[in-house]
Amino acid sequence: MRMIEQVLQYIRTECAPKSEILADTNLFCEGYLDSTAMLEVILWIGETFDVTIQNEDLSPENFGTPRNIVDFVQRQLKTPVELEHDAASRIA
Amino acid sequence: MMLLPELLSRCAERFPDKSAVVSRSDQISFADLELQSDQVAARLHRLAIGPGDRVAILHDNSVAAIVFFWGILKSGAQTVDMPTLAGAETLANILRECRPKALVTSDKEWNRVMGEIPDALPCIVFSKNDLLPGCKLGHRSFNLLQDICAEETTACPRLRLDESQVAMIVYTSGTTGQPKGVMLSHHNLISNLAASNTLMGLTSEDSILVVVPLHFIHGRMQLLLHTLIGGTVVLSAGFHFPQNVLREILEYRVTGFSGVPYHFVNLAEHTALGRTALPDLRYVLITGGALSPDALRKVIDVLPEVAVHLAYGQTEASPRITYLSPAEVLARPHSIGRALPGVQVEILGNGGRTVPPGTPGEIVVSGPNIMRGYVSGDEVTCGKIDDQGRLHTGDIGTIDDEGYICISGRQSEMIKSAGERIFPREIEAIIDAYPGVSESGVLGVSDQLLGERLVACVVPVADSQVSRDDLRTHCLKSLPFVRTPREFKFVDQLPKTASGKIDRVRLVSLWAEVANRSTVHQDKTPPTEHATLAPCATFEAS
Repeated sequence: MRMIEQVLQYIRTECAPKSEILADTNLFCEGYLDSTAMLEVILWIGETFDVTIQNEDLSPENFGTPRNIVDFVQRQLKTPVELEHDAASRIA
Repeated sequence: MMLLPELLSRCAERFPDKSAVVSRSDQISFADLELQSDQVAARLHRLAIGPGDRVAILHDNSVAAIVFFWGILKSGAQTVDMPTLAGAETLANILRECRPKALVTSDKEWNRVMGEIPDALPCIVFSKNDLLPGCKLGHRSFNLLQDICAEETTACPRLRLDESQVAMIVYTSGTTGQPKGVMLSHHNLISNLAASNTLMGLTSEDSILVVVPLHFIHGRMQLLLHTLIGGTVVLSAGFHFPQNVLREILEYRVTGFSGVPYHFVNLAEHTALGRTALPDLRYVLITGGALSPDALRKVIDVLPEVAVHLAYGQTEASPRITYLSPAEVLARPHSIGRALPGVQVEILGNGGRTVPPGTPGEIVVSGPNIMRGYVSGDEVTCGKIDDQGRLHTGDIGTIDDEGYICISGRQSEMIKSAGERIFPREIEAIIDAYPGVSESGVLGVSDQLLGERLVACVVPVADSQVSRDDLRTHCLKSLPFVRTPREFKFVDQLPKTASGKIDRVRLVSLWAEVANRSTVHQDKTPPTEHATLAPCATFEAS
């Protein structure tokens, strides 16, 4: 299963069973998740994808929408070499 | 004699240009808040809404919602605070019980409730933004704030109200499972505000960051208290990202912050609180439940320059009952303080007699802050108010010779999770309605972050294929996340008392047994067990 589908499935079954939640749905501005649900999602992300989440990472930019979450996880999963390569590509 | 709107009028005279309310996208001065709320009152009057009528508010925290709140009070009508996260059926029950003449809402909430409970909604609707045309079903009167401000004069008839009349109705969880509408008078609230501030000593130099929804009495108290003192209320964008709350405290330079233990544990564990200088923050107030002595110590350690106040209360007491000052917090970490001035606290044992100091009993309260009653009118028959007008809190505690009170337990079935007051029957009724479920018993188990975490023992009917995932999804469709059990365990039967009710004490033992033994009707999809939501391997402590 693709990561975005995994994230959507978790949110829809464990936090807010609303079919209208899509990849770009704002999870908290639109009232789908309260603060306790958001914490649950964050814990699940850490455990499921084996990524370390720093307190500073907890922001709407990283966790505001399912797509933000996937982008964040993918960044975390990249090796330092891959991140360096990405940065070099952007400069070029 | 004084009525709540006079608090705002005094601020508008003394501090006309000062910000009364600030949010990320909006702000309003005391003078403008006075003017616009007068105009809302004038519109309500023109719509024949006034003393004795009710106007419901179903709205996220916002400047507009506060303009409407004051406008309703100025019209002489009663505000009805509705929980924004509640399911449609709960909201419909509230509306059917209190029968408001009008509803204040946002486009987001309107779209939600209009789709699910259109028949329960009043015919007169107020909002800041235009509501979706497709959702304006029926013969309803829609009143936009901008139109009201453009069209209404401020000539509002003088209020002829007695201070003992109901000003606000706040819905809170009830023992029967249905929310109870707590009716609070102008006198209830003003006496409690004045008594609280006699002890806290806040002034017009103070301001506060509000993270709790204003439909909770905790939120309304912050708004009213800062109108009493002429201080600014800053509405937080929300507690979803605790680090952002820390940034808001810093950015808005607020002098105060009030939260429940859940907020403080979160801020201490998941933000850079201990490493962030907060030069303007003068005090914090912890209310809405017990913070463990260790957690309290940690808050004090990371905020060495900040005064930590503690308060205990209930919606039915407008809400404050006791207070513990910063000077006493460390010396008495197990205490909730002493009764507020004018409030009497008694500890009653079996038979309703006052027990000697140090002896546990129910905490019973009397004073000018005790509610006028429930909208449902059953405050006496349900035992919340006794024949002497005293409020039975349902909390068990002791009082010492100096009047300091400690809570040791709970007589009622109430569960407190993340500051929310939850009664098991509300959740059990939802679970029991699911096909394949015979009955259920909901309880709270200790949780470091939430205080208590909801879990459920479920008895399936014979040959039922019901699963934990089925029940979880079913509950989430009717209940907010915080009121949905995190875990479900299937059992053969529930422990019962002689009268056939669930034996709540033995239910705790049953849960402990099945939680450690997954062979009792093993649910199909074992839940991800989070014994606590405290820092785990995926978090790095700040």
